[in-house]
Amino acid sequence: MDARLPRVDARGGNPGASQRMRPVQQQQQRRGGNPGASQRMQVVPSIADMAPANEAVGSYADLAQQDGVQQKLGPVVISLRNVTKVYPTQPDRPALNGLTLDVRAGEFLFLVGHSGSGKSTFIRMLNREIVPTSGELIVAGENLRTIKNWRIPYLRRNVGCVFQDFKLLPGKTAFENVAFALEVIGKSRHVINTQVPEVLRLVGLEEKMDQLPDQLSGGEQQRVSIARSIVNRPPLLICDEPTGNLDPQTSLGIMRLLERINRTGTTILVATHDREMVDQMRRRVLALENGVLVRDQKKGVYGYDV
Amino acid sequence: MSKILYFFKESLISSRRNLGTTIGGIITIFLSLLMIGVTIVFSVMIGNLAQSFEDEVNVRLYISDNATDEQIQALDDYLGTLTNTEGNIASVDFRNKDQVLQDFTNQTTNNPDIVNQLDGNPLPRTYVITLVDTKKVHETVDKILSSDTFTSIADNSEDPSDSVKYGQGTVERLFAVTNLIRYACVVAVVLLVFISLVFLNNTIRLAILARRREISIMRLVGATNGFIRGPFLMEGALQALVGAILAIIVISIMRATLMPSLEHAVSFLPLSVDPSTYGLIYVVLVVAGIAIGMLGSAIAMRRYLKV
Repeated sequence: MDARLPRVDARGGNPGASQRMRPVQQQQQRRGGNPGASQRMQVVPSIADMAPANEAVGSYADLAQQDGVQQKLGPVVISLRNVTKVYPTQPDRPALNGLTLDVRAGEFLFLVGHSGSGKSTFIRMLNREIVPTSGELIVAGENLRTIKNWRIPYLRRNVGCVFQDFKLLPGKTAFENVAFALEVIGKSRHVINTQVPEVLRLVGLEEKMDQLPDQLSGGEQQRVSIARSIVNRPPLLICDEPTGNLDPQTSLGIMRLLERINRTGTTILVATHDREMVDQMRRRVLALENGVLVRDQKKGVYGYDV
Repeated sequence: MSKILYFFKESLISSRRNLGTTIGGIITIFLSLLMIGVTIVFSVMIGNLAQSFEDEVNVRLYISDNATDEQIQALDDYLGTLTNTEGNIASVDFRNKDQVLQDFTNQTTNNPDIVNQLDGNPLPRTYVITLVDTKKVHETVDKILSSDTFTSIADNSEDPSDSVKYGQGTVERLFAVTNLIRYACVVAVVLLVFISLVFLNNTIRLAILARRREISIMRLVGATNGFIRGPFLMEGALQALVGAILAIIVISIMRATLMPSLEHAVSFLPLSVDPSTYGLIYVVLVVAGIAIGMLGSAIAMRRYLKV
């Protein structure tokens, strides 16, 4: 029921990995950290093994895919074949028109496009908030046009979502907000009490887990939101303008975090308007224009004139 | 099990958060269930009353003073066979003139002068026929009237049907009235159930609105619909349960205080309702209350759980 998608171990056997991990290691040592860390790098990494988020220093270019490094990719996790979505209120103007593409496990993609180009429709289709009008859409092995209603919750457990407006519960602390995601899928108190502090440590909020969202900065709130979306370890993480409300330095911190999550093998799709981020990170870019996929580029750029 | 506890905890939190509407919901369902309970008690009383009247319906055949013993014996035999064949006659009782006078004297104890002023004994010999099903009194009477054995010795030989008395008209009217009261009770109960459903639906809807954010996040992270529904169903059921318990308490109080004085005031009417009926009513109130509560919240939830 809770079938897991394959994860890609992007670090193991990857020559660039140890180099990329260096800042994290240093930080661990600075915190009086973990002497076993280097050994542990040999095994399949999990979120729990990762160090807290790095400070927002440097630039997005640090997160760029290294040249000559072949990213190890898994099987296809998202598959679109001629997917079209027409809203009943606008029958003449499809929100998405004949999209065909594949996303493989472990990829890090950007989704760019102007407002109204269909980005949000695309994102919301992936967790079955919206049903495609025609075409075939397969996410995490489920055909989203024929999926039974009772299976949708299990699909959503495989698809983490992060939004521009965080969607945190104002009355719950950071810990409780993250714990909520586990509580409502029926996880035991024991699991919650071990996993939540772990994931909050990963996003660098272990010291603030008893604070309410109001007492946290925007960036910190988004970290809580990311922690909530990955605490259940979904193989797929979808972010709808995760940095849309944040200043550039904070945004960089968030992207660092997402990039590190990606390195554990989680597939990440980020819809964004941030030209600098896309141009410097040089990941695969999907560009939408009026509902049509106009560009699907490896190591792409933002590509729109201001 | 932990799920049930979780639902319970969440529903308590939600009830506390919307204390005003929760109390409103409890009061509504309490009043509805109270009225339902009172209506049921009332209808049971009416039923008892009607039953006691119905039981008193019997057919009296007046026999002419001229009738010979043979003719009476023939009627006696005829009624005996009718008892065996027709199946609606419970018993046949022959009263001679002295017994009839005695019965009459017993009935008119308030006014003994009537009997004293009688010249001799004008009262006819009488067959008293009690029936199994008083609603079929017509059929039985028709059979007796169609038989020569009775019509030939009827007290009023010109119109034998005048010599058959079974409270014509009054019986029909009584049936009509009791039936009407029963239907009215059913309608009242249905209406009350509907009203409490609407109110409960409203309170739960407010609770849902207050937690819409939570629900959307629950859906986002993959909570099943059953899990999302749980706390609200629990909340509805709990409110209904509290309302039902209040209603039971009030009905018990009424039973302990009002009923004795009512029975005392109209002691000639059989109004008493036996304790087992009360037990049944309490069970009905709790079950109906919880059903209404859960149904009300389920209806309220429907809109918010479209996937």
